[in-house]
Amino acid sequence: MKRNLPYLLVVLLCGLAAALVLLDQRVDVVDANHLPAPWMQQALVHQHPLLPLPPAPTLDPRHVALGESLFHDRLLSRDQTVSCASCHDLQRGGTDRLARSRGVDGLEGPTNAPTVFNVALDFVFMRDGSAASLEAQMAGPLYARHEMGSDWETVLERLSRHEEYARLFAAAYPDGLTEANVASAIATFQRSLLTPDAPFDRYLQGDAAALDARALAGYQLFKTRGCTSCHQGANIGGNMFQRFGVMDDYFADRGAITDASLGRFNVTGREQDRHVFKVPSLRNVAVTAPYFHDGSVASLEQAIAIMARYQLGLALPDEEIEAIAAFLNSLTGTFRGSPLQ
Amino acid sequence: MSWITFHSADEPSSARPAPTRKRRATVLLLCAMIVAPFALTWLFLRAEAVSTPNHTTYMRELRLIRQADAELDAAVLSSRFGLSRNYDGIVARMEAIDELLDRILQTPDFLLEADREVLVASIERYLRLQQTKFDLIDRFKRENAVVSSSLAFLPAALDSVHNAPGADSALFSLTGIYVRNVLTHAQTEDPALARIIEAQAESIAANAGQRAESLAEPIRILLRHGHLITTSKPELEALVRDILSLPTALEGENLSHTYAQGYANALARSRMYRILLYLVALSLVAYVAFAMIRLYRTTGALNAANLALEERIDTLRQTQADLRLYARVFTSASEGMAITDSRARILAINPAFSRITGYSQEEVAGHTPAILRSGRQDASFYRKMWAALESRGQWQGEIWNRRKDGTVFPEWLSITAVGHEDGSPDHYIAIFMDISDRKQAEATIHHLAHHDALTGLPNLVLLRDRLDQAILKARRSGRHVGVLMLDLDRFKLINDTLGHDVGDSLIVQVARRCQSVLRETDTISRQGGDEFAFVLSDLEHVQDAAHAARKLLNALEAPFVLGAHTLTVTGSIGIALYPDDGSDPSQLLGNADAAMYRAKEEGRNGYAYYSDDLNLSSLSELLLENQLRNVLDRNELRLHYQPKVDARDGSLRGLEALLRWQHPEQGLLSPGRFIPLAEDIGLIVPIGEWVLREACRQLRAWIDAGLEPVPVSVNLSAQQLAQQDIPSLVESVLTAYRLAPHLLELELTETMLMRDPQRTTGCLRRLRELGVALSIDDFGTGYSSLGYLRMFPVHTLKIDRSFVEDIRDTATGETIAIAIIALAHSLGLKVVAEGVETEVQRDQLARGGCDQLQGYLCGRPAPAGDIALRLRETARA
Repeated sequence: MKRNLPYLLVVLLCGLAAALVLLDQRVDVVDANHLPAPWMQQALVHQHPLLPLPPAPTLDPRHVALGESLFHDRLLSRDQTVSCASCHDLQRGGTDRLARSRGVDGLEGPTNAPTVFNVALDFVFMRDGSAASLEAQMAGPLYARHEMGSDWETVLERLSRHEEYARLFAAAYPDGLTEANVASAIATFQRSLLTPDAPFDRYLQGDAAALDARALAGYQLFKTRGCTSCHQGANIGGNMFQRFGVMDDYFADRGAITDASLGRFNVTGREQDRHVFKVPSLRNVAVTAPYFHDGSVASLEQAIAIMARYQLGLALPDEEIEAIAAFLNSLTGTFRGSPLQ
Repeated sequence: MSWITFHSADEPSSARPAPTRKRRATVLLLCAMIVAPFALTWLFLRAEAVSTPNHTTYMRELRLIRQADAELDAAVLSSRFGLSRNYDGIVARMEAIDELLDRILQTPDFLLEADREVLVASIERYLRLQQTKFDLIDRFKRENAVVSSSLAFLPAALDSVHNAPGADSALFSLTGIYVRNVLTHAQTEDPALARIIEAQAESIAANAGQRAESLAEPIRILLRHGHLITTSKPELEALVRDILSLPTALEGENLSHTYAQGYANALARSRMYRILLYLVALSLVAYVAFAMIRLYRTTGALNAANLALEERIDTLRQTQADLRLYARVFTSASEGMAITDSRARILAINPAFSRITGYSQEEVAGHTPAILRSGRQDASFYRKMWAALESRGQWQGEIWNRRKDGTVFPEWLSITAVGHEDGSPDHYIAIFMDISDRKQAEATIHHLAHHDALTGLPNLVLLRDRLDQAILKARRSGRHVGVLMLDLDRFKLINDTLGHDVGDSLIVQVARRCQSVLRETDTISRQGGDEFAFVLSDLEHVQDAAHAARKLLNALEAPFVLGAHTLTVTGSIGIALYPDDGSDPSQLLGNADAAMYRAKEEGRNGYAYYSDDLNLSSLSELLLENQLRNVLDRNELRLHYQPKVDARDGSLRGLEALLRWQHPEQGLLSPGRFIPLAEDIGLIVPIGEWVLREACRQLRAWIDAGLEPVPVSVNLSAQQLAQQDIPSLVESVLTAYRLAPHLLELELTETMLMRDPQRTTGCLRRLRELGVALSIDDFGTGYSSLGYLRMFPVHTLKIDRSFVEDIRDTATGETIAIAIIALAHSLGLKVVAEGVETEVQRDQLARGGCDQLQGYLCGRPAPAGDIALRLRETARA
């Protein structure tokens, strides 16, 4: 044994060295310099304010499926009465069509539930931009007393007891069931909720007949009256903040100022952000009534008029409003092959 | 269980350090073996820590963030100047920057802690900067949206003014210029233009006041938007300026630089680890080389040790084999062995010891060999023995010891002290042999050495001893010592004819008779054969010796009865005397011998003194020889003739010519005195020839004298037969003397016939053809083969006198002679018996059929004259 010790040592070291060298060679040397960054596809110069809906992203179908299950599962809420879909009904344009949603214990929230369709294209989440990502956004409704009123411990405990979820999580994620993975699954599902094939998109892609004359006139008005200053981009909004009441003080005129009407001020505490909200996307706007952050406006025309009045300082004539509404109606896309309703 | 504690307590504590050190070294080595791979792996990983993919990725991210930042600025400007009508580009860059910031916050692992901290601080600074920028951009988007929406609406607002009822060309111009200025102002940086626009707005507003109500609203809207643009524009400009003046590019540059510095540091450290790894590898190689050299050396040493060990084992095995051999020698030796301690107490004995003494190991262990003491040796013997052992370490000698059964036995004992180098013994080894048998054998040998085996008489050795003593004694007393030498006459003949047993018993009887007639003080000794020697001590007179000789001869006279035979024996005795005939035993014995021969020569059955004249006669031998040479010239040779008579009637049948020398001083000499001499000097042939001629001349003379001649026989010698042509000589002589061949007879001995049978046969045949008779002389003394004789053409057989002498009484003696006669007759041979001296002999021979007789009884040899008388008497008869 003793006599062999040096040889043993040498053999051991040789083996070790060989293993290290082999392992080292397995590292893929990828020249990442030549891969284009995704944002480079966004051109710097766009004469058109509105852009077509981008193609659906490539997502892990297991995550999407798991997210969809969770999205529709009531066990996320404290008393298991409410699921995500309760307020973001995919059959109702991704909203509940209520002015303000009701959560657990029948409590009514302070704001209108926005649609989840195309939400992934927004630059921040929640109307006040308090969530930087869909994943971060999820904690909001989960914890909100008037929404799900639950917490991560409860959710994870329930999911872990659920055999099917445990199996699906184990299959979809290397680390299985975790807080982040639950958020990820639901966020991924939301990213899949794009609504292509809107008439306007078809028009932008070259189908001149996709819009009728009124909608087309509405499109022109939408651009010339200044709407596209804020409602622009691929999501026709959702990529900037703006004060509600640029030309005149909407909230002073209307009254009934709540905390929710303070907007982004609630997040930053800066005076300049008072009544500042995320400019909402106008895609599928025709099927997501009632309107505004508090659901205070029931009809699209009324909303157009208020926007023109307070944001642009215009009193639009009815025919223009109707034309614009016709245009806005052409923004309704399809989900899983059928138009949103 | 007490033994356990005892055992552990017994363990020597002094032996502990070495194994502990060894164990510690082993453990250390083991630890090194376990730790070394980990240390090496750690070193390797540290050396390899600067991962190129990680570095390139991070570098790319740094580059991308700077690019995104630059593009963000571009996008802001693009929006500001209406090149881009949506904010997707800005948002995308901002998101990219956000994401990249998140990623670059994950700094590469290979960075040193200090570098990482600097880098993270730099990133955080950059992050804060970007946050500021993002806030500014948010505001920019808002303001820009407001301005751009107003700008977008401005043409439509102008149109609604122009289209309003009541609008005139002045208003057209005024508002048109205003709108153009506003639009221009929106895109340029002219503070003066802002004042002009403000002034124009005031004039339009003033103008509008005077106009119709329908115009007031569109103008108000137009001015409001124009005002909004002009008032918002500086703020927008300021925002853009603030955004662009933020040092994000510089900070980005800084970031890259900081990272590059950290990367360089990490590279340098990884190089250091590589060098360290290289050094460790080198030292490992050195250690392996060292270990192998040591292994090689150890192997060598081990081999050497192994070889030495094998040699030792071989030696040990050899020693073991030796020991076994020694043990076997010890156990199987016929000698008794005992090993004692330094105080002579027995430790071990071998089986032979027990066999000889009867004592077992248990019985003697612890005792001293004194238990064997016989008492035959006195205390001084043992004192001497111990003294010898002390001084020389060895003693050996004969000793008498007593067995367990009480019998005493002699042993040859050898004691050796085995001891330390300083000489003090620690063991004694005693080896002894029971020599009872040897003692006896020694006595026997001693007797055998000094006595004759047949007779039990002292032998020559003892005789000489006795003679010595006698001489010594005589020298003191002044008396004589007689030495007698007795030889039996014709003993050889007895041995040859009757066998050795008869001869031996004769000798024994002779010895007894001699003993009976001598004094006890005299010594009788047999010298071998038929010779006896006597030492007669203390003789007063010289004649006493002769007296003894006569008594001895007389004692022999009575016939000896030997089984079936009765023999008469005579002896011849020679006498030598001390001091007259010699002074030492050899001389005396030699002289007695000589005297004995002289007695024999003088006729047997007698004695003779050794005297000076015998010595002198041997001197005269020379003289005799000279005289012999002239014997023929001086005509001193004579022939005597002895008659041969018919056995039946005693009538003369023939004569044998016998040679005599008429010596001028010594008288008539018998042939025995000079014939051997003549043979020696080559005179026998002429003498023989002379004998033949003289015999024939005498026959002629007798015939001429008118006497009836009888055949005369002449003896031929061997030399004659060999050197001379005998037949021719005989023929010529017969012719010369005109003699009938039958008158001549030639006598030969058996020995002569055998010497050259072929030549002899031819010679004899020729003689026979001449008619000469041939006879064999002395038959019985030589070859004695009758069958052989048939080969030769002989006529007569002469029986030797020794056979005739045997015929002494009527019963036995004649047997041989009679047998010879009968056989000879059967071969057709005539038989002549020689030496017939008694009438008994004559009668026996005659009865046996013998043809002729010769001897003193029938007639002594006589000169020619005397024979002539007898011839005449015969003729007369």
